[in-house]
Amino acid sequence: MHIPDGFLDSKTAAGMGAAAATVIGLALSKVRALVTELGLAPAMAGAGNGIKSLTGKAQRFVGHAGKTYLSKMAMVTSLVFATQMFNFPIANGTSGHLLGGLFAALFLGPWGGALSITMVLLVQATLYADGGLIVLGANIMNMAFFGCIISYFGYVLLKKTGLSDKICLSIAAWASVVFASSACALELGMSGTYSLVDALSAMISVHAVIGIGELLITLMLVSIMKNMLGWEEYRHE
Amino acid sequence: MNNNVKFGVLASLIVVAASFFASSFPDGLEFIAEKLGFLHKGVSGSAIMKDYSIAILGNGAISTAVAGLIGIVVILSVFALFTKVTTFNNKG
Repeated sequence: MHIPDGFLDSKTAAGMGAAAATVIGLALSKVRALVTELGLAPAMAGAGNGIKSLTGKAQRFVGHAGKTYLSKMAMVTSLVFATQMFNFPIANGTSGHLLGGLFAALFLGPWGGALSITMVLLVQATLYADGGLIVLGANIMNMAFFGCIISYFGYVLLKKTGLSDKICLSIAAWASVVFASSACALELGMSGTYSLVDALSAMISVHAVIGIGELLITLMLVSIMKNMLGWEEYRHE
Repeated sequence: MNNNVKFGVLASLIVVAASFFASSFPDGLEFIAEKLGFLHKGVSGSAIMKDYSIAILGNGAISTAVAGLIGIVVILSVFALFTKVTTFNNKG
């Protein structure tokens, strides 16, 4: 679902770029609060191990929990990148691949998950020319905002209905692909690349099938992370 | 086995498996772009590992595997560097 340059007009690309910048800014501040803690920072460089700051002034610093979170984020990001390379065939000579938005949010929370997906998109666009650089904002909106943040809040809402976690996860993972592809169709329509209604129906019908692959791979990855690495789901407060 | 090692093995296995077995059919968006007739509007940019291959290794699965593994190393390095920078005065 990576949009290449040329599919969107410059107005849409710029608008999506601005929207994506806003979302990333918000995500950065949320994640900053999550990985830092307020307190007496551990010893300044050179002052030795375990000695607390001599000035006694409270400040934000990345502590043990923050480091653990960042290493989790590194793993989720590289795993999503790896799995996105694995295109699976669906009907009519078409293929799909994992987007991973819900998987990332499940372990990192919606904001950290969105930063993780953004990092994947950035690496793909700059090192592999997979997804255009001018339309990077649009791709971030589709896959990190709609495919991750919005889908994760959908998952949280679904859980309130009392359905089992696996069912909620399945529905949300499937929906994340449909949301992302609808957003993509909307951008194509706004750009005048194709009529909105036709683009929407074509994108949704194909991605409703690809979403089944997303669902299965997400369930598999989640179970691997929980059982193999002993990871726990992010607790939404 | 240490969790980091387990994870490294898992990520590498996925990349290598993807390099050999991933479908080369167009993806959903590309398929629709072709069907609806706007595929030609796409401008493909240039990048050092364009199309997940390394020029000197050709276009085969091994080239893709190496390109993918480099991506993993790049991502992990960026995070390691970031963690190092933000915790430089913190031994905790």
